[in-house]
Amino acid sequence: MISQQEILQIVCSEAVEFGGLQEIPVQKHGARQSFHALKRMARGPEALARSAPDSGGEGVQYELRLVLEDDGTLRWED
Amino acid sequence: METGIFSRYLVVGAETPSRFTVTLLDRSPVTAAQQSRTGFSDFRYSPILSAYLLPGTGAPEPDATITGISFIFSQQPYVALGKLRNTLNSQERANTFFTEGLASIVMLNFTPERAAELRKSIGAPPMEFWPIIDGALDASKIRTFVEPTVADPADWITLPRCEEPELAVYVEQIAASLATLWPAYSTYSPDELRTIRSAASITDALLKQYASVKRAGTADGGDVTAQKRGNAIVSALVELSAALSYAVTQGTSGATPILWNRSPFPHHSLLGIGTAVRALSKFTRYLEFAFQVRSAGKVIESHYTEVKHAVPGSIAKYDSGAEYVLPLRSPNGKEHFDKGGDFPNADDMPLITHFSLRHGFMESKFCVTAASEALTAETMPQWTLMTLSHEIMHSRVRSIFQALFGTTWIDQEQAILSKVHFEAFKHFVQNRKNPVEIPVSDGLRNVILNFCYALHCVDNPTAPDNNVTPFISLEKLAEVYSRYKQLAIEMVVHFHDFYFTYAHQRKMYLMSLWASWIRVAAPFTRPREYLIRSLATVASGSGLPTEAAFNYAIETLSEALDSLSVAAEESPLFSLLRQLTSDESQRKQTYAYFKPFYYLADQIRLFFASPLIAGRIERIEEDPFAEGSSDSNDYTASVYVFADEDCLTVSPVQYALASLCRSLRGDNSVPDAQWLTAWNYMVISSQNAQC
Repeated sequence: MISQQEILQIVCSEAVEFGGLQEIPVQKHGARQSFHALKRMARGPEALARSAPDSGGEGVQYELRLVLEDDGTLRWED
Repeated sequence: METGIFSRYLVVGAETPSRFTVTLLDRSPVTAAQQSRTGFSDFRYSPILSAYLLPGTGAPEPDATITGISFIFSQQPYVALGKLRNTLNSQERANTFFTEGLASIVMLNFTPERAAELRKSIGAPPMEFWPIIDGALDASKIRTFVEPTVADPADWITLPRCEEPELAVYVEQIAASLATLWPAYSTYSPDELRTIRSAASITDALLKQYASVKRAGTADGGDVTAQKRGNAIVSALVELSAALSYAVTQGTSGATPILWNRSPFPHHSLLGIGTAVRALSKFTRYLEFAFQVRSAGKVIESHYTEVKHAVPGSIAKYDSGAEYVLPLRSPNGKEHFDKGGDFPNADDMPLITHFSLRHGFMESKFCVTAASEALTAETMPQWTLMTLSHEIMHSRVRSIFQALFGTTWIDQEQAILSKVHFEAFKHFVQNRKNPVEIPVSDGLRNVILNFCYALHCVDNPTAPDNNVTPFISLEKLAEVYSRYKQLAIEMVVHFHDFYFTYAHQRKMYLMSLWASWIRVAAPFTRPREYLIRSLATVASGSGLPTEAAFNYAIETLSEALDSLSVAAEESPLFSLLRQLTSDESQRKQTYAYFKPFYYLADQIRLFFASPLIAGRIERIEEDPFAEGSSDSNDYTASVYVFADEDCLTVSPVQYALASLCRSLRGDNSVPDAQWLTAWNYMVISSQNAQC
């Protein structure tokens, strides 16, 4: 299913993504700890998803958008 | 429907340190304990379940008075009971029980000589005999029957050691757990010794990596990156240590001598849950073995970096196509994933398994847990063992995301999303209206990023008159990926579970999902998200244009909900689901959200469906109950049928799925969830890994 080598590399990725914080189950439909995890904000979905500024320069224009019409309907546009 | 008392409770109360009152109750002893206030210094009990039901009659009546108890620690109780059945007379059969503990068979009122003779006929597993006189046990009279084993010193593992003060406490805990588990598994779960070796090995690897990180950090005069990496290694060691502690407390309690090995589960305090834990392990190993044939990481890194494909990039205009259709069964057909050579998993890390009340069904790097409720009510849809497959698939998907997005210890760039990956995404977006061939590994990464960006759009819809074209920077995309990655992971997991475990039986998958989701909190807080996840999963592989696929998935869901209602599985959530898919404006909104999910699920279907692996999971040719069909409704397992061959090849997945089907049909022959639960664990735990 998963190899030891992969686990070792995943630990490295987690150092980048979560700064070494322990893995706590969040967003799992059955997990009782979810509420407490969110309270602790250790690795909640918002933990690293801070609003990032656009750096300009090295970006891409992307016209994909979901349009919310005045009547409340939604329409994908690209 | 059978009648009688199927589950009884063996209750032991300590009068003195060496004298115990032993009783057999026909219901949970908690009420009796409350009424009598026990008066015992120690009080333990476990359910024991009638082994040999009589068709048309139900559970037979055991002797009213107990004169002796034989506990047999069989690793294959389903096979052992099959072998014993014809040698027992009718009253002996009535006095024979199975359990969820390591003492998997309990026989009442057999003489020690008779029990010893029977024990030898089933491969001489360990046995413990309690003489009972006037309802009491004198502990000094307990007899144990254990064959002396000569351990091969070469088999003994080298326990991890560490002089580093920051890590020593964790490493000592891990080493102590391994030292406890090794002799216990040698006796009760020899197949699991491999798990112990792997745990020791990964500990050593983490320690080596920690030393390397520490050296690098020191050389640079101490930097934050090195500290974060060190922290991540410590976190991994803590996780591993915690999982092993659970393995010790759940996997070794209830071992002989029983009275010295109390289980931490209060309602299984006498015999423990060793057989149930072994069933979790067998279920997990079965799936791991099937997937071992092709490593997802290696396919992505070696094969998918070479193979090119024009991966679609326009979510707004996505309409699937014939290429995505999942054939019903294609034993000879080859999907992309199965091409390009052999990519076996070389150093598989078996997941440690245990039950958890706090975590419920959950996966982490080193373990999978099943909800503790599944010890009593596995046959109820919300606690079915089938939910474990979803968690096991998370492990597979970890390796996929690592291969697509992960960093490695030698990477200089420390970013959630690398510049190279961002450049590839830029080109993908620029070419999305006329996709060009790109390596599939890049295509898959771009699809996931595209999905995450679309979810960002869902949460931030624009006004019709807003003509500003968004500009996405690397930082913005990394933020979006961090925020929505979890949903992408869930979709990839859903597809794997649906395709591999449920053999892409659409209605069955939806019934199973929603029967369990109506019993947990999260779907009530985010109903549309869960609705769309389920719809997109069963729509994937239809090949239908997006709107037709949406309608098809809703029809299938409607049939699934109707069937659940017939099976008396009702929930206020079902009304909400119907509203979200039928009310005109709600339906349009749901459809808008459905689009990116369908887009992602379809690409995962195209590049991760594997008839090779699916065939190793179904194994319908070898399973005696499958009758050559992968349809769970055709599965013929019966509570009156036992195996009598050591090489039991029942598929745990098919078995658990068929059990779930019977529950959903309201078709269980035994009206006792505890009995059926223990029966399922007994059968699954008896699976022979060598076959």
